[in-house]
Amino acid sequence: MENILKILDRLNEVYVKRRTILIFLIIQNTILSLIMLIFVNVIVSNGVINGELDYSQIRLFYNTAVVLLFIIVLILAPIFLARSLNDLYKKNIIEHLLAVKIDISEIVYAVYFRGLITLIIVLVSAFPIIVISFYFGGFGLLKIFKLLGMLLSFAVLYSAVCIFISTRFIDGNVSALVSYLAGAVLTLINIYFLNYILNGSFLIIVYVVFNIVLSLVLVSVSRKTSLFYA
Amino acid sequence: MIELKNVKLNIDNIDILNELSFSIPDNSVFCILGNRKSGKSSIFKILTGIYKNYYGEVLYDGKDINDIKGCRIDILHDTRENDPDITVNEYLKFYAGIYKTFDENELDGYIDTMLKKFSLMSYKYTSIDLIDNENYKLVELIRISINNPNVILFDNLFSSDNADFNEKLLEYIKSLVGQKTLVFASRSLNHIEEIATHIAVLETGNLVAVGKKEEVYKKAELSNKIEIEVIENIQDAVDILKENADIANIVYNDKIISFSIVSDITYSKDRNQVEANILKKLIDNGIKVYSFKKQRVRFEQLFGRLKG
Repeated sequence: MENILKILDRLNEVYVKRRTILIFLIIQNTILSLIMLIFVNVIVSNGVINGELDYSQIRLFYNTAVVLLFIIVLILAPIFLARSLNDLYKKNIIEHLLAVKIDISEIVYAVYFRGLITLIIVLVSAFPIIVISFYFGGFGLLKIFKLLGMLLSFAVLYSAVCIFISTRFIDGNVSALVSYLAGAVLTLINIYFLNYILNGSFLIIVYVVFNIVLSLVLVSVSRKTSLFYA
Repeated sequence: MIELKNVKLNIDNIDILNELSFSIPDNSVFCILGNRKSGKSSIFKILTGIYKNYYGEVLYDGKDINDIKGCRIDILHDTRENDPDITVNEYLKFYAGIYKTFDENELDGYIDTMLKKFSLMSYKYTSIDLIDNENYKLVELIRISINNPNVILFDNLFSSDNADFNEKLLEYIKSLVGQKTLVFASRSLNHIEEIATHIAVLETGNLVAVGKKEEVYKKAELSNKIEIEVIENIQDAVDILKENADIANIVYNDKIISFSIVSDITYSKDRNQVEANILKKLIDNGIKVYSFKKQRVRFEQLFGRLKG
């Protein structure tokens, strides 16, 4: 655990440029805020014409925002993770770490958590806008939490998929491409099941547990890979 | 001590290493010599822990090299691929943060001292990707010194044609001799020959010869001959040399005497001392020595002799 934290700390310090994340945060939240403003503007304009405010129209924002957040995960996870391990391998960093008796699983978990934490920071920064707009748009808190849980567990799983793919291909571009394809398939599956999961009380727990277990399996399998062991 | 016992490595149905067995003594300068695809880099990958799918045993002080925490190995690669976004300073601090061998307050001072020592201070805030291969190797030496490992692996360290750079590198490496186990993988004996204590010669994964340098040279019927040119009294000089038990194979003509040192000397520093003592004794006895030089053994010569 100590080694995971050390590597995580160093990777964050040096290899994740804070300004890059900051740019993502600004762009993402600006887009979300603009969409929100447009919807509020539409509601208020209709209210002026009809003499009555119809808050239910904000539900339109729901679809747009959810799809946007899935797309953000879909785009960012491969950027942070799909090239991670093969890049570290090519830069001899993995060999240098193994040589001082840091275990390969510690390296894999550190890189995974580094990417996942960055992704979660990006997602969580969007939550206030989503929560406020959904709450005032007539959504119950439970449904909002379900949605956030679904998004976070999707990020956990997709990050694990990306790291697994990064250990299968020596070429970072190939692993990024394969990750995007895998992400597209996962996103379609998730959007298809979105309503079932949000409306069922038990399904969301099954979904979150399934995603986390599958992620742990994928990350564990990543340490036993042909890339590192010839 | 590192021991390889019947180590066999097969990748994609190709035998990379075949039943290799040899030992690398503590604080020795061990040279693994071989041409391309001889298996040198694979041995390094086994020692660093990249390759674990080998057969046989690789031990450090009698325990599996992958299991013990006390053995710190480091490697200086010949090839590089760096991140363009990080500076030399960030690069060194990245590893220092993982190695944890230095206190945060001392680290900055140490990095500056080492950068100054290698005349790299002007590169401190330069992207590591922009510095040339020679300076990159010096940065790597600083990284390794921060790690302070027990064993250092050098992959084709002296591949540069720049004589000044090689000299600077050799000077630093000499300061490590006797304090660390230094393992070189190389296609030539240039520069290393002077400091080597042990040699292993590989050919397509098979061991051609291994042992102390003198033993391997003996097997190849080669020796580190020393040539002395004297201005006068050559017979007196020969008589003085014959009194020394470390000296054998004395051959001489009107001006030049050549001989080998046969004593069981482990370290290059000690051998240099023996040679210095021989020279001093000649001069103290009034022999006018005009030149005193060692004949270097080349890898091709060694390999050719061993292969018959």
